[in-house]
Amino acid sequence: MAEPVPSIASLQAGDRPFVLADHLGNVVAINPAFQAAFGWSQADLAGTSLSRILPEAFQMSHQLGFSRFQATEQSTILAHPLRLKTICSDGRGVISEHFIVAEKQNDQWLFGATLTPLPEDAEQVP
Amino acid sequence: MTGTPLKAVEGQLVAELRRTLGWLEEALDSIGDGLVITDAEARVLWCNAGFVTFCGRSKLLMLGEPLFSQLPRSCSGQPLLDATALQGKVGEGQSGRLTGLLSQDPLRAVEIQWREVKREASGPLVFTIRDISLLLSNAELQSRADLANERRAESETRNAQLREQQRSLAAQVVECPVTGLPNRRALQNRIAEALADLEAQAGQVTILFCDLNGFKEINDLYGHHVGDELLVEVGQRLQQGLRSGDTLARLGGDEFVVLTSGRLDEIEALELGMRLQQRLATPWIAEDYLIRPSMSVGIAGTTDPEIGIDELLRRADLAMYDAKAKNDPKISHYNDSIDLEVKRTIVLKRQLKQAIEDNELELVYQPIVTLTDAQTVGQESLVRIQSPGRPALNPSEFIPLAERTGLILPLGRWVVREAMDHVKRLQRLSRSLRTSINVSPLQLKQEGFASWFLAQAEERDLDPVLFSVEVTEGMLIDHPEQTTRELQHLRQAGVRVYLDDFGTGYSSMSWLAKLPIDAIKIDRSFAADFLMDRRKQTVLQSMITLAQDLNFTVIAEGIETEKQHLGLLEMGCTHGQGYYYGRPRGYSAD
Repeated sequence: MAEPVPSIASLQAGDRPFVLADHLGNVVAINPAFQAAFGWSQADLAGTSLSRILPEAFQMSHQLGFSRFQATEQSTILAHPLRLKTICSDGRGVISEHFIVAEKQNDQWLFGATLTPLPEDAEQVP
Repeated sequence: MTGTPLKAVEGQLVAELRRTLGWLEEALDSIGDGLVITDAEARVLWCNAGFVTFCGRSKLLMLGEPLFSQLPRSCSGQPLLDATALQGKVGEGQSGRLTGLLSQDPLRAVEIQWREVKREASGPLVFTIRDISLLLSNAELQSRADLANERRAESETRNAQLREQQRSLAAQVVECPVTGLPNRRALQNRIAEALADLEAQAGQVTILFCDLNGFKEINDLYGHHVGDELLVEVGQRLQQGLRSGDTLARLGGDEFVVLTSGRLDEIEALELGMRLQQRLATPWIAEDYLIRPSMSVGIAGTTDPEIGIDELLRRADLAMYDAKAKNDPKISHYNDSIDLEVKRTIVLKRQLKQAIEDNELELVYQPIVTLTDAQTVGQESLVRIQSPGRPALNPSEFIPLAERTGLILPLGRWVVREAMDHVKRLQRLSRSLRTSINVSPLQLKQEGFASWFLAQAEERDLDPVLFSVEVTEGMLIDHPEQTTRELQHLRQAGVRVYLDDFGTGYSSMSWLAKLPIDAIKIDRSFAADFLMDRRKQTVLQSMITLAQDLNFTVIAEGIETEKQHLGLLEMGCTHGQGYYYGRPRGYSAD
């Protein structure tokens, strides 16, 4: 039996680095663990595109994938761990486990994700 | 009032565009052809499901990777597409098309088309990969494959010819382009001629292998253009010091070789080496920099015409390495013991590396006491290596070797961590003791060493005042800014800094007042001799007095007898360390 998908609220309440984005893919909030792990502050990111914390080579696919979810409400990357790089405020890329969930609130999609830094020798890093 | 509605309209527009883009992507995923967008260097930025299926790799794994390495290989094992197909054309609105055969039975062929998106300055490329197996007849496919193979064979032949031409041209170059001196090839030819002459008539061939000291630092500090100018200058100076008939060549880097003419005995070769060193030593000014060049010289001679060019050069090179480790004049003659020494060093290095990897390291601790009452007030941690089934390695051998080879970095990190774990164990037993840790110049030259050290203490919840670091004079004088910064950082956190082996190095009294230190440790040679040597006693007394005037703690090392203990006490020394109080011992909870 598949495990139940955790809610955005439960991810947000945890102690892992967390980022919340609105239906347009703009950052709404980050938690202190996110700031500690990647150096960005709330003021740096609030209102800017989520793609800012992704490597350049991932940005086009991110935007198109995000758009596709808007159109079809179907995704292959939600609710399971993904190994990706997260770009820090100083430009470094940190290998992290991204776990993204989406929820509809007041007819608008909301996206919450935990981004947990992984050891550098973690396998299969795109 | 207009801001909010505008923003809402913008948001609506973005949402609509997103939905449109989303449907487009969905549509592109439904077609069988593979589609890829890459950057100008052909790194994948986006691809559709057709391409994912074609490559058999997940999209996330392909993003940011070179397109060429994602594609399957052709049935002949060649890349379907490689960089040469695109080379030099980016930014020129390039486009292209090729056909690749994936398998012959069953027939499977693909056509790859690409074009550059001209409007984008960054030059992205769009690739289409189409399965054309059904569109081609077997014969047509075979003819395309044959044509492609023919072209590849032609291109390989052309490349092989070009490589051969390059090799042949390179073989004709016998002059160093920087200094105008004969290069390695020319030197090898001349040594070969000299050895051939030995066959005809008994004699001797002697070469001097000259290596500039600190050339890398000059390049790093002043830039390669200054380094190159220096090489030219060195070439000219050495040339002026040669005898008629001698040949000077530049081997490469900062290495010059003199092939001498006629028979040269050891003394004459040494004199020639010293003369060349003197020629070189005049200060040299380039772009406002004053540089004092110096070099180490290794000498090797032979009467054996069969020795071989490489062997003769190897011997001179080994002698040069031996010379580097010597005091002035840095000149060595090759002999069998140098060969043995080098082999021994190689074995020792392997053993040391293995011991570090296999964790065959141990820290032992020697007490530091107050001389008035022999109370232990501290201890120095000393690293030992004991590999099972082998004799213990001598620290006086393996520490300098670890310094030279960079192994001191992992070794030093282990020492710091282990010493801190040890202090933590003592703390749990309520037996806290300030523990000294020896720090090497290489460690201290690492930016952020102090932060790392303090982080180790913090991780173990240890107060930095429980530690002192022992450094040598040389490192403070050779790298004053970097080391002072790191040591000040440690001192501000409470770590004490001891100046180790004081009295053996520069020992400039005027320097002492400027150094960021808390204590001096007087070298063991003073404790050993001061009772018999009046002059040493006088020097020792003045060192103790001066250090105390500067408010430094004075620790005398190597105290082995009661007489030495009493003598030092009488001279005003306050602290001591040596076998008289206790030998270095491993940790025991007793």
